[in-house]
Amino acid sequence: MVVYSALVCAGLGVGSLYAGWRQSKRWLGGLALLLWAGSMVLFYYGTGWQYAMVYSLLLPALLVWIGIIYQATTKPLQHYITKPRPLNTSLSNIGKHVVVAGVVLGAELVFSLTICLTVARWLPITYSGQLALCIVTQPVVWAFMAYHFLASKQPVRTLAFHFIVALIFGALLLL
Amino acid sequence: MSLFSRQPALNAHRWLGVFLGALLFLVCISGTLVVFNQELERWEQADVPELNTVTPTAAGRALETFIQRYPQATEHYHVVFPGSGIPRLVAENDHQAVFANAQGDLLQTEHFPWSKMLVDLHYYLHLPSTWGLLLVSALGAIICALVVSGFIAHKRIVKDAFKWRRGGTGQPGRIDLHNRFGVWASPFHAMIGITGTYFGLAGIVLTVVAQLDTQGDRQAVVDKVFTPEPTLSHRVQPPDITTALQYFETMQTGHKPIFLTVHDVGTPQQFIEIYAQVPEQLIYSENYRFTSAGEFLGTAGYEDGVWGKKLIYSLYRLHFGDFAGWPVKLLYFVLGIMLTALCVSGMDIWLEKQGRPARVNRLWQGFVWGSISALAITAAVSLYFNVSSYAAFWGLLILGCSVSTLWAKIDKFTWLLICAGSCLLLLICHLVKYGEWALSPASLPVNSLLMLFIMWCGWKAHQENKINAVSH
Repeated sequence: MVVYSALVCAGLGVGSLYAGWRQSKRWLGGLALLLWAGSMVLFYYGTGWQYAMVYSLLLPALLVWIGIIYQATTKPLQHYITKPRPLNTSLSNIGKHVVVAGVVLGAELVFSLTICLTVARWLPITYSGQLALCIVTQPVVWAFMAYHFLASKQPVRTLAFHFIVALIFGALLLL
Repeated sequence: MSLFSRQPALNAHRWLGVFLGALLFLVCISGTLVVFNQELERWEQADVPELNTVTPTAAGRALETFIQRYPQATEHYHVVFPGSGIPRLVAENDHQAVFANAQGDLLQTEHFPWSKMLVDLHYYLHLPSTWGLLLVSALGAIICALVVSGFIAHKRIVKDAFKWRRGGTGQPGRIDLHNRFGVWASPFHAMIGITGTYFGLAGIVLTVVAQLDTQGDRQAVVDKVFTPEPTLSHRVQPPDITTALQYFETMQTGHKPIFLTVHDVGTPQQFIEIYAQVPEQLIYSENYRFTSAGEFLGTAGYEDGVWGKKLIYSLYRLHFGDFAGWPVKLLYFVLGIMLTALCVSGMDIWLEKQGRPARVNRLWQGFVWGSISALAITAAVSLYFNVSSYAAFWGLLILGCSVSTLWAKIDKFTWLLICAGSCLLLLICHLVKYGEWALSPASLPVNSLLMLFIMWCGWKAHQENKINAVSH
């Protein structure tokens, strides 16, 4: 019963958010957050806090589709032809992409791991806590570093910067 | 131009999505199906008798008979209980697994080559295990990077929160769907990325930490994080799992036994470990340890352990959605479809912006729809023939991509029909092989999903036909 109430509460939250979005009323957005928090509390009583967190974070992804489908607009199908742009399949371009992939998948892995492991091991928490923290934060740091590299106008400089930061953290790790 | 403005973010998002799109698609589609791994294993051997509970005596008898029948050297014996998510009793060693009935009599051998192939595709992309695991884990971080760059690139998140422009040229609707899937399901995508990265990264972290702390002794680090195995030096004797299970029942823990392992078989260190699922917690299990004679030694202390130990031990269930039965599996399945659709729609948006270069476009369609058809045909073949599912899948996928690229007549409409036909073939093959078993609880969920997918392909093909009619 508590779980069903939590589901209804989450649904009302999405409804409130949708109404707030349509009418540009911020207070309805605030109400949606309150209702979601309420649904999380109800889930907590029904299933424990661990499941409650998962449900509260994942359920809106489904529930919003009621609003999205209701809001959908349909235009008559129309056909248009654009001239295909030539794709650069030269060896040098392919080689450039392979190098970028090597940096994103290889170098940034090593850099982010070094940084996360060093920071985690500094923290005054249990041994398993340090490792858990490293494992959970590393993909996020990796993602941000990959983004920084790919979005930068000067990728070589950015990579050198990442390398130096990782080198400093690596030295601190070995101390 | 700031690093957090739209164009640099789009550049990063595009590179990550387009260059790694094919790999991401394979990992996402296989991961979405692997959510139902247990159901697929049941479906692949639909005629095995199922049971909801098993007595300690029957489990003990099953293992005893198994040991007599398969006496080859092994380091472990396992007994998998009906509470594992598959309502069957299985006795196994490191080489062989055999089903048993409620009385503990052995039945047929466990054999689900297609499900195993699918799991291996998700875990390793069928590459050598270490490299495959590393690549797939790296793709987890790439998913996180796509979430980050996607959010930075999308400057109208609030304004477009519920927008979906259907029809027209198709491109606005495609972009809207891509953004809605990406934004609203971002907690799921990020969670899948983070937990997915763990599987390959754990080994690297372990190696590095072992070098730093324990002169390269990885087991010593594992023992510091998790609970070390008990140090025993008992007289070697056959494992008495009946007594251990009877004792476990009297403990009334409220935990559901998933499986049991006999470790270090035939050595003085041999011990029995019962893995039981803990309600309301994401940890994989609490483990109850017994001597070979069935005397209780203690628990591994996961239920009340320190948070770091619990967090690491929770990542498996969190990643695969295997913690609260079918409603959560269904939720993960739908969100998995959204993640897969993100990969496809992202590449489609890029192709559209490139003016749909004919061969590349057809190659991508062949890859997407061809991989689904290849999975279905491989499953149908493996129901009847003992051929390598790995070779069959890749052979069919390469064939599909080649034909699609070289033969201009194969468009999306044709691929949707091929997909529907492949799945229909699979459904018929399963019905023919298993007869009434194909409608049993072991098969019905998967067969129903297949039927739904066939209908969706039909509807989508009809839509595509309408678009083609406008084009001509």
